[in-house]
Amino acid sequence: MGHVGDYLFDALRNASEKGVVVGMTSQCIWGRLNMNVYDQGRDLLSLGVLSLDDMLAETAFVKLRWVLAQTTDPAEAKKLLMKNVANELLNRTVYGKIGC
Amino acid sequence: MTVDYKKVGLKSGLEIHQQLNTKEKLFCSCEPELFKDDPEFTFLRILRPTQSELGQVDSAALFEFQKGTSVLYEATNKTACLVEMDEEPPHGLNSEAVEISLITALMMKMKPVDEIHVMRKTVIDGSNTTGFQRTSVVALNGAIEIKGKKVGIQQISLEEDAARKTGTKGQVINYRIDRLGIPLIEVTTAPDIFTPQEAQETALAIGTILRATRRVRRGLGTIRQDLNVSIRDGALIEIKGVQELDLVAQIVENEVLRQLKLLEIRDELKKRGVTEQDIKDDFVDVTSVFKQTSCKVIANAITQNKIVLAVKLPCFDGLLKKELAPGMRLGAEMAGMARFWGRVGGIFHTDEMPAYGVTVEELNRLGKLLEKQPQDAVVFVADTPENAKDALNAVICRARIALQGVPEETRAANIDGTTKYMRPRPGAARMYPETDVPPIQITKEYVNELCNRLPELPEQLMKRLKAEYGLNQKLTKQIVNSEYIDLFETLARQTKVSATVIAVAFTETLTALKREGVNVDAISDDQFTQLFKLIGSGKAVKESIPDVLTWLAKHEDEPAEKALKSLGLGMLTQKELEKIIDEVLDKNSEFIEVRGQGAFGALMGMVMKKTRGRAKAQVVNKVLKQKLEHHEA
Ligand SMILES: [Zn+2]
Repeated sequence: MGHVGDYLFDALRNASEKGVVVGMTSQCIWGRLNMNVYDQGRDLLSLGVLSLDDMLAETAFVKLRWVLAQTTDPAEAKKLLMKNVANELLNRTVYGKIGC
Repeated sequence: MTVDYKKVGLKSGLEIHQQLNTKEKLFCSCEPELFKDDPEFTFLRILRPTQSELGQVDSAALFEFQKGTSVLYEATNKTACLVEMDEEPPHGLNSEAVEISLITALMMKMKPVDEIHVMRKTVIDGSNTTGFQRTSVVALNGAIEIKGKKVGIQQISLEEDAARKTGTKGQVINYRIDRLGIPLIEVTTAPDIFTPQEAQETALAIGTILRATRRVRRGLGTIRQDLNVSIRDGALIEIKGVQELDLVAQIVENEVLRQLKLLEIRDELKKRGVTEQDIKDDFVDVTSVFKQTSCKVIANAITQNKIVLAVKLPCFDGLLKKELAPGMRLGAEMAGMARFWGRVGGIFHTDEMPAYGVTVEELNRLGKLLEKQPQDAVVFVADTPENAKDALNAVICRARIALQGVPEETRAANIDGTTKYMRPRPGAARMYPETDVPPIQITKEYVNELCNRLPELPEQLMKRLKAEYGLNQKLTKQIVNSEYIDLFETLARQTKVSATVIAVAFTETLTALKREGVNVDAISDDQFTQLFKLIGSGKAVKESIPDVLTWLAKHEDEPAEKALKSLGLGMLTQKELEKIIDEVLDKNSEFIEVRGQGAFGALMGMVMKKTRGRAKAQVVNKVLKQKLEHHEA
């Protein structure tokens, strides 16, 4: 479901306000993040943290570096990060087909 | 029997469920399509109903699952993901579905809610992998007009459709989860309907408004009607799953009759002096009576070590076979409850005896064992001791209710306009919030924007169709009420076929084919489009429409061109046509000699009959005229 401790909230809010792109992924290989299930997730969403769905953490890191080479505008960067480029970000997870 | 509906105090309300034609399902991105072939994977679940969040569960379903029922879910990767499997939380509410339901609400002059909250409604029959159905109120308090009378629309909800049952094998129920999660709109009317005819007209009007959004699905099972019917001194009966709109009036009529007759039975029982205490659960094992029976059902049961258990219903003689409404009897009502609570195949009762191979002699011995008097009835059932006991308990329960009149219950609609016992009426809605889906704000700006682009209302649509396509009044009305209104307009614009021909095909022709038993729902939009394109380009004639549609209904996904070929309905070449005409002329040369040009009409008829829709009347006319002149010369 994806969580961090409350003690990080101030730092996250600061980063967000300064235009730093903050996204959350899970370390699970299969499945996706759903930040609407628990309060902590919903709080993080309201702090501006993006839910990176089924993107793997390593992929997300590399993708963000690529995104920041395309644009430095935070809004534009968030849009690019949330757009599927090479099946790294899909809106469906199906049974029996791990990966894509 | 004619009934004064006002006098009996008929009150009826409708609940109409319509699938929406969205790109994705309500809480995930799966395709809202059903699969026909074998499932790609299955998974078995055992539902364990617990005292849920609200501490209430459906007693009937709980009963079912305490007996150890499990569910085998069938799925394909295309039509289901982890959300349907309940392995992943729901995604956000599908905004396209929200928009369609808001549009429908505004067309019925309803007030949208400020915030849409998704709720969970406990459903533990296995049709939802979660054990609940997600539903959300979208708008409240509207009205539509039926022949000058206002019928209130209480509420519109947006819901996820349930999985569809594909079979039962022993203790395992099969469900396909392709349908689970398809967006469904539920329109609930106020109990403002006072005659069966009004019920049907209201259902039709709501259906027409839903289709006027142009964003609902069509075909068998995409719209389902539930009816609530009550009369004074009767009970509120919920009738589920009316698939044919034409049956609504008949079902309401039958329900009124059924309730009136049940009240008559109550009075008769009172006259006979029966009280609740007289109906006792004194079950008697009568297996010995049937040791050598020629009744196959009972003989079979006995060889499987089952028993025959019987109970006496004092003073019920003749009442079990009394017809309540066409095709419905008190005996069948008892059998329905026995099936539900006792899991038996059916029951036997003395009102229908001797029959099914049970002899008079066996009945006499049965009667003796139960101390049956002539005015009594006896009900017996052959099954395991446990099932037989549960079944007879249901029977005496139903018999006791007969003393009070009409029991509140949920009934299922049959395709012939009758209904049957389904289950007890569930208690008040068991709903609690779905906390995994954030609520959606419905802003004034959004509602205003939607108001500015509402689709045409049915009346406006009728006016425009008449003007734009030159359809007559009757045909316009039929096509507006039809599921095919959308496709009609597309084809009338895209093809060169006359709009009237297309409209007739979608209304009169399809209705006629349906009556002949053709499964017209199987014909796809693509197939219709291909057929009318062929007609438009002169490769087929309109006379071939019924034959081609019949063929297409039996050959899913096959092109219309193939239908023409295999039916031998491809257009004749000039040469082929000339050959047919020559043959007709030769055969009738004497007739032509006598009648001269006057033979034309009759000859034309003969040629048209022979060409069977493979030549245009105009062309035949021209060629025949020329040939006839030559023939004389
Ligand atoms: Zn899905």
